Amino acid sequence: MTAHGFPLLSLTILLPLAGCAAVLLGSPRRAPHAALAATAATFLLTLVPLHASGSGDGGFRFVEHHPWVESLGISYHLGVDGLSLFLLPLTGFLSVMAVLVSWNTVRERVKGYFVSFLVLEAAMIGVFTALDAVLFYVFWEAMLIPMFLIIGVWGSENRRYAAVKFILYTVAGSLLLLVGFILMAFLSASHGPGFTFDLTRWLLFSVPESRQNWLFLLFFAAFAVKVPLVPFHTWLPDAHVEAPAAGSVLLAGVLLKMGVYGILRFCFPLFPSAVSAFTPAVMVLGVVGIVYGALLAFTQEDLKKLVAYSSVSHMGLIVVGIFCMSPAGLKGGIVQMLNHGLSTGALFILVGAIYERKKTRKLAELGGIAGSAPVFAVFFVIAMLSSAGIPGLNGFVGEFLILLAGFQFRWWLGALAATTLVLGAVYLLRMTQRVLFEKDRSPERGPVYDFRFRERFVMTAMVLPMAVIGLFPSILTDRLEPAVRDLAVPAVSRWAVEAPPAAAEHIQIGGTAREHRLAGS
Amino acid sequence: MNIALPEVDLATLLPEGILLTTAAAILFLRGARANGTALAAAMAAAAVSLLLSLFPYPGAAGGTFDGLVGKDAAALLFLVLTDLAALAAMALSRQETGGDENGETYYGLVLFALLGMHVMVFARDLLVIFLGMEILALPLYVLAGFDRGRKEGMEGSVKYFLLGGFSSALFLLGTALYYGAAGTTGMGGLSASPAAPVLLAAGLALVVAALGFKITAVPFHMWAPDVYEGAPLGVAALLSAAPKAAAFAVLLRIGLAVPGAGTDFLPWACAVMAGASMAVGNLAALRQENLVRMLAYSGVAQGGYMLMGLPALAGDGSPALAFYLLVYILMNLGAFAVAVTVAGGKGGSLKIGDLSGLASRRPLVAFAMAVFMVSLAGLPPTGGFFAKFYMFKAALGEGWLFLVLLAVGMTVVSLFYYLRVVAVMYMTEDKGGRAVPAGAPLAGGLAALLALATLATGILPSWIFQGIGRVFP
Repeated sequence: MTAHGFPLLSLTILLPLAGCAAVLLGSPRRAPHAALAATAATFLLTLVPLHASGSGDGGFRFVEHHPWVESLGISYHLGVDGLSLFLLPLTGFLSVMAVLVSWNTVRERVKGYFVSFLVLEAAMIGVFTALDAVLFYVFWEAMLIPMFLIIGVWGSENRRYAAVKFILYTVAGSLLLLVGFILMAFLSASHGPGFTFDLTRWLLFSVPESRQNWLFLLFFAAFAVKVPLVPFHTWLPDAHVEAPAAGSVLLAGVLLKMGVYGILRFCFPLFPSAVSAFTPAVMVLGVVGIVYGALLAFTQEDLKKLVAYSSVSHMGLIVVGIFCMSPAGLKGGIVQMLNHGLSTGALFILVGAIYERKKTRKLAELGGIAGSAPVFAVFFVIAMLSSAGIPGLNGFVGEFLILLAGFQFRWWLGALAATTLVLGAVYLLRMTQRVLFEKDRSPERGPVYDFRFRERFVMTAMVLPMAVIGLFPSILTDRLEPAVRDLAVPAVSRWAVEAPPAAAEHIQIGGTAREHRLAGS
Repeated sequence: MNIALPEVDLATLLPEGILLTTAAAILFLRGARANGTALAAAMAAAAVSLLLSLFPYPGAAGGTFDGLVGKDAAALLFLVLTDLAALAAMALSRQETGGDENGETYYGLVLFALLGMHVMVFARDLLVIFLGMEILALPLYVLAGFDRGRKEGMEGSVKYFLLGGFSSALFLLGTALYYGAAGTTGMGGLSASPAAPVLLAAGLALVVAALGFKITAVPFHMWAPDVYEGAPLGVAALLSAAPKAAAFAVLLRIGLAVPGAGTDFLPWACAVMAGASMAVGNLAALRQENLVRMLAYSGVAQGGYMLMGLPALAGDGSPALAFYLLVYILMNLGAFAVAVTVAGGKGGSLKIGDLSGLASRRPLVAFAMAVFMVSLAGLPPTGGFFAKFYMFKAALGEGWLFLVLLAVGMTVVSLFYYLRVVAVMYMTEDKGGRAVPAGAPLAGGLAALLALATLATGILPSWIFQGIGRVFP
């Protein structure tokens, strides 16, 4: 499917980097403008695949394939399919928001700040488009240093601790992923496609069942830390609390999605039998995450910690959804990834706005903001309702699909997962009540200034998609159909044909999905 | 009477001839400008030697002296590596030799040491290798204590001398046992099945131990932190990279011999040394406050990662080792170059805390240091990533999974101290700091060059892989 000779995806990755150059060459005062121009242009580019994919077909589009390190079987291979289709615009959109949020809140080392964000954006887009395992890994790790600096340089008091903890957890997981990739390449060498890191060629053979479990664990380690699944989640609250508002937006909005994306991109198609073998264990972790995250969120005094633990809870729900392996669960999981990016991103922007005004994030020191800032209050309530999954807004669509899949999978699993609705409402409503209403408990009482133009614009842009997805979910779900069909191809069909190593190129497996992928490469 | 004279082809030894003549000539330099002239001449000689090995002239490769000397493609590659390290280390030494009335001898000694490494790399006989090791060691004993004003320098020099003498003795004893088993001191004795495998094994074990001193492999690493700390920074930089390259060339030559009775313990011995070096080096580096001592322990750990290539020689071990060495030279000498630019005469007693706020004082230098630290930690998009990646691939291909898992765990540990440097530079305010030294333009320029090279090997490593691939088909 290389109909488009135009290197759209490379351009999308390079544009933020060009923005870096512009920021570096310009004056610090102009840095936000350059960053905004670069992210806005990138956002427009990420929308192109969305438009071009109306035909609904499971293969990769906008494929670019060039040799990179031929002697090691590494190539520069990019492409978009239904799985990454919506994650790209989400990344582009939230990056624009991140720049706008930090428009005049960053005062020192302005250039470095925006350069870090632009490098981060390029790496995030790279992760969602890479079809070569090593390329994926390079982008995956390239995100670490900018995020390390964003948390560590522009964060709050305990920033160094949080930055180091973030990077150690992530690298510990991802180095295991690297070992997994190399072992996978050796397997590929002994099963036909040759020593290669190309994902599309890995899909040409079936991984022997005896190896699947170990490889799955190596891969899953990296993704579970990133999601984050309980008990690998402890870096998240620290990172969120210390990061600046824009950093939290991208962390929650995009970086956490990469864990789930990795599971869907690598684990599901490569290790189907291991996925079914580990489903009970992962389900338990997911459900524990839902309940434990929600309970912890309820006890938090710090607003950012509260939203961070609510992320743990929501990501647990997404994992439960995708591991149901049914079309509804996968669809719900992917939709919920977008929803969580929007609603949690919005909540972090709002919390940042509160901190800017009141210089505190403690629930015990807030209150009564609705009185002096009605516009702020309206946006706060909408974002809160979206996060709580109220019908009419986006959160409901994803949660409904996931719970549907959960009940189909095992009724008690659905019931346990459904506690997210109740518990979510509990901590979100408590938060809203204590922040917006009651009486002002802050040390320096007084009215806060309401949202002005910039903040109104940002929040309107965040809230609009919530309503659109909530009211017209088919915009998303229809386009996800092919990707989901592809992923939900049951493991059985793949095992029906055992691949003879030499003739791997000619096997017909499991319907059309494979052929599309082949055509894509 | 008919005496068969060995066939001598001096053209093969042209680079060594240039090094020797220049080194000897430098010792006779006198006058006010002797220091600068010596630096220029020594760097020119090393650069010519590097180019002659990188772009071999007709006759550059070949054997001579009855097979005692043999330059093949692999030897030329390792000569390039040692020359590169020596060249960079000399560029870092300008500051430290400036005030010394004997500054010019410094460069002569470095060239003699480089000559010794050349001999180690191309020799095909254990006795000639021993000659090379001694030619390397003697100048280094002097250089380690070149800074006569510093007590640590004297201490380090004596320590280095004692342990160096000890390792020479081990090597000689090993050679004797090897001779007893194989009937020759030539490397060719390895391929024949030995009459006394136990004797051969004992000899080789001693030889490998002596080489372990040169690559600071655990348990032969004790001297490194003290010597590095006391030596001038340029010498520490040289010690951290160049002898490692030469010793690995010898180990590679021993390791590539046909495995059989008496040599089959080598892969395991190397694997154990690799694991121990990674563990001890990384864990000890965690506690260092002194930048040079931290780099010394980090060098021990990096030597451990490189040693992983030796058990995997049947697969991709040798190209992986060569690539790792190249990247290591770039990033480690880069880190020393940054140390020289910020040390301002403080030399080996530079603390990590002295870098605080460097990002606001000297953003470019701080950025270069960040690149080196990230690369040493093995994160993309730097050469350090591909070095580790290739090494892991080579080791996994030969089934050393547990060694790779240990390396992975230790890499996570290493992030603590490498990123601590980045955090100190970027995340602490400049507490008055030290006045920016007048500048070390040569070291600063070198740091910039090496940072670019480190990034280039991480983004476009393909052509280097191809070049190394031609050497080790």
